[in-house]
Amino acid sequence: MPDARPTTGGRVDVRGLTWRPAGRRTPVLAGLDLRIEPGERVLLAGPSGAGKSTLLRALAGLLLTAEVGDLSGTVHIDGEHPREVPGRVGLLLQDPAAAVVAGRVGRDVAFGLENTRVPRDRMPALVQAALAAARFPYDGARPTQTLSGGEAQRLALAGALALRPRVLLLDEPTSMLDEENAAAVREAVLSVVRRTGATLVVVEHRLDPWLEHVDRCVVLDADGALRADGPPSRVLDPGLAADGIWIPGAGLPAPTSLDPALVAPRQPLARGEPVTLAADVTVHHRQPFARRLPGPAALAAVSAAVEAGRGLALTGPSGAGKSTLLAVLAGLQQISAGRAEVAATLAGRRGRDLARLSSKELARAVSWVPQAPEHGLVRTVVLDELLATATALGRPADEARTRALALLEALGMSHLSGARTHHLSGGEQRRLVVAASLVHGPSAVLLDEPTVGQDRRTWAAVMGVCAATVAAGAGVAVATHDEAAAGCLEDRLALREGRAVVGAG
Amino acid sequence: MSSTVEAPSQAPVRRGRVLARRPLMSYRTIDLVTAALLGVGFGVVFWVWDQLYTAPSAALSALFSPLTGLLGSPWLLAGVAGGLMVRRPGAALFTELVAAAVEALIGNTWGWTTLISGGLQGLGVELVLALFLWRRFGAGAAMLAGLASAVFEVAGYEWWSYYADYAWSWKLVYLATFAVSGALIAGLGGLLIVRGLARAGAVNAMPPGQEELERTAR
Repeated sequence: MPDARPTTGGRVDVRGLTWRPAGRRTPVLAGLDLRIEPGERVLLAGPSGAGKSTLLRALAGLLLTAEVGDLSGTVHIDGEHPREVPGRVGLLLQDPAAAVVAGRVGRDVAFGLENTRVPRDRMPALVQAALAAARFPYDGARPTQTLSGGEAQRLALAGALALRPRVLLLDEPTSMLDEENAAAVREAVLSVVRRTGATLVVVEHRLDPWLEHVDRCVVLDADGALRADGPPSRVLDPGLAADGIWIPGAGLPAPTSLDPALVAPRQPLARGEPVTLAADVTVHHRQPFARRLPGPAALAAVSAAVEAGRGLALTGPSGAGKSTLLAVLAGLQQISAGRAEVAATLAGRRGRDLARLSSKELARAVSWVPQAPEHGLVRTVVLDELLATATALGRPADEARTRALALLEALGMSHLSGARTHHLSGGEQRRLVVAASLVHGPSAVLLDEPTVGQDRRTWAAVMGVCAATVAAGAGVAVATHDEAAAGCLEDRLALREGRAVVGAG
Repeated sequence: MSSTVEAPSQAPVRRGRVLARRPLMSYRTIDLVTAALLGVGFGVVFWVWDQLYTAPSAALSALFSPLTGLLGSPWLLAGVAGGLMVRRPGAALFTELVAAAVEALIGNTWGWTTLISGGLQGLGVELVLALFLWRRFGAGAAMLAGLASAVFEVAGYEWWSYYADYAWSWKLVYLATFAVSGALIAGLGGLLIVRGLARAGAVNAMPPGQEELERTAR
């Protein structure tokens, strides 16, 4: 913090909190009561879609600022409405890129200070102190565009710390980071909390790394009501594993089995034949207006193939080039050198070159699920979303519908077939776009971080869908930080700084 | 959320009209951003109309000059749409002014005086929405708003600038044609544009978007 004076933690008092977003028949949170004492460290768990993120947004006073709906009950931070005391509550989101507001690190951290009208001459010292407290490795002149996910997350932490929050809310702050970056973010958060005494509420699906650092565990059930509350040792009984909670020591769930016929490709290839491949591909990221970003290439002479009937895991630390390679294989990334093409049987009117396939030819061959699931959403209602590509390709409607409904059921979302896509939780949106990528029966499916935000049960369901897709003869590639997910696939390509790591398993 | 309990949810879904959350002058960030974006969009549309307007205007002039009032109302759309979309005092004026500024900055015949028109047109919409205490945003209010916008523009500015030479009978015909087209094209047209945006899911956080969400609640 700016000076060494410890801030005290804030008291959180939630009474009868009910929130029904406009256009949804049922509330996300219904009559929730919760009291958190100053300085308490709370782990907030619950199955995917339970309302964990909604609760954090309510504590930060954000409901009704950009979302509309019926809100009742009260939320108080030290007896005050959170929006009356800007900066009292700091919120970190899953995707650190979503929190970046400026081109330079210093400006980015100062954004909150500007909004609370801190005198300009006091800002540099406050910014510097916040960066130090967040253990941010560079100074304020660093361009925000060059940061890795872990660095960007610590930048977001610094932005929150600059306002001396008494309550720190973290919404899956490490789920999109590799283990090294995740540990650095956790360490930064914990050192801040130790020094300032701030109250901490963490939402995370993988509980283990936080457990020894929290004094209390609050578990929500699927309907957004309190399921359990108390010290972790007492709360986390094995019975919760059935509810989807990642109980430490409960082992990995087995992928749910699913009939491969439901995800079978329309054009099956011989097992082992490359559906889409990259040969010696080099990629330079460009800024808008086509200026090359400084630094090394995002990918340097990398080769990879997604083979029919096989699963490929792309692993490596943040910034290694996993997403870029996946986008190359999906025909969505311009390459500077090398070849990227589909199997001869999937060639389009202008040949096998991925860049020269029409969108329909490309859609028949490969589907791609982006890292940010909302970027993959093209319809407002879940069932329409599932049928969108099949409809565009003129697939038989009955068959598409059957496959869509079966996939929804397999992913635990049958009750959501008529829901609005933007009302889904992050984990639900991710499962939806995974399902939507399979309904039209592509020959290969490329998934970017499909297990983020998944509880135990939905994780098993997602991996079950991957396994069935492989068994059905399609190629599957998964870019992931999730070692357990990578372990479910037979092939692996490890990347580091845009290059394939030689000799990796 | 506030210290007072609001919206006791007897009925699970709220059908019907949605108003901006009180107090009316406490704009949310998203209200400002939406109004500004609407203004920029309409500014470009206005500029396009600047180009398209000349041919039909010449034709109508040849017929009977005051009939050109029929062609003025597309420039009133921003104020009506902004007012109906945001449903707060000042939103119509702001949206119409932003649109006029964008139109003038791209470059048109009228230059900075476009802002005089924009201001008057916006004030006309504001007057009508104020008379209804920001509680009516249906077809009737929209048509009256379009009409008032036209009246402010003509009686407040055009009579004394562009058409100072008209005889009073011509001035009144010009006012009438502009007002009718204002009510129909700017009023009903603005309402349709707002509803279209709501139906497309583009403005879910705005009152018309919320009405649409609740109407089709799932």
